[in-house]
Amino acid sequence: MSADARIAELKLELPAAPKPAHVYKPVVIAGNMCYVSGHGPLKADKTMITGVVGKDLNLEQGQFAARQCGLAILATVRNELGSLDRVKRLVKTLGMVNTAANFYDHPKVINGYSELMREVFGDDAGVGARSAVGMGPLPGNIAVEVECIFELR
Amino acid sequence: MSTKPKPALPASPPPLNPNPAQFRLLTSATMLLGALLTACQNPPAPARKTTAPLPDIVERRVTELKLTLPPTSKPGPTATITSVVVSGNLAFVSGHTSRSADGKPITGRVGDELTIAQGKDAARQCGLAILASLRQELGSLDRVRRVVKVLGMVNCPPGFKDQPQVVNGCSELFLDVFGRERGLGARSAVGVSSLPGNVAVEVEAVFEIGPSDRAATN
Repeated sequence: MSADARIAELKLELPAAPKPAHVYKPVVIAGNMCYVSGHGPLKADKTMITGVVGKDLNLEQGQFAARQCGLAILATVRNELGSLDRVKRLVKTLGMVNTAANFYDHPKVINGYSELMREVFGDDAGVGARSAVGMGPLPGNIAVEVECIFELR
Repeated sequence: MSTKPKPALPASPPPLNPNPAQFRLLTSATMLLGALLTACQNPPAPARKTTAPLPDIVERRVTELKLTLPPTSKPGPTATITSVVVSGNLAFVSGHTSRSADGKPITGRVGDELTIAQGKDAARQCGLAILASLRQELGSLDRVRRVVKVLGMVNCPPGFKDQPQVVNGCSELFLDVFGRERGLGARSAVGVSSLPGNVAVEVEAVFEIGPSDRAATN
């Protein structure tokens, strides 16, 4: 099934593609690689989910924030490419979690994003290489930031 | 209207790469041997380009250096990540965390619970785990053309400044295994506020790879 069809089937509501507030492009395409800038956890009301995971937010809230980063990325990529069906596969992800010093479940948090990608692109194409780490603080105290690379058809 | 002079660009900074003294020694020995051989031949053989591909040398180096690569984990069907993704001629390797030879995580903050030397050893262990995953994915490390880029992330307290020395543990390993031409890539070495399971170091990397033997003969 195509990625766009999966988005419809899963009834996923993509936010409006966020506009970059600073000096960068949301997406750069080089050859058949699509480099996506770091995206924050955008909510439907266009505000960001903020707070430190493990202190202000619990694990589930962190996972939800990571998923919102993924939805924002999908919105940006669709906006740039016209259709998510041009994505051949997810290649690589860097998931950055705004964490308390004694919080060590970064992989579980970023799974909120990774599970979304697997749902949309499938068990093979939607599962890529990944690093999940703690960064703190993040811009505007957002809970999670995710950047990634897709391979295009 | 006055035109502003263009701001001068700073000189490119020297890379914070490991001292390749050991490799240089090896290279000079090889060159000496090469010179002797050349002197004995008539007519002299053309000088071998150092940038030429060096087939089948990496796995031999791993054996020579007596490196033990740790066991790899094959992600199950419900996994959300995979260790390596090959796209075209690039292999993207997931972040590998520091584990000792017996598989136990090396934990703690470098500059706090761990010394720089211990952090460097942890980074080397990340590198060994990366080599193990690469070998599993590619069949042989001889398919690696070069290290393209490394991101080394060090679990350290605020104020810690020696991340490059720590990540050198991984970079020196790649230098030993792949040689100077292929083993030195672009690199960032940074401190992060925390890492999964409180591990000391996590390293991710991108490698350029050549075709597999099967693809090459087709």
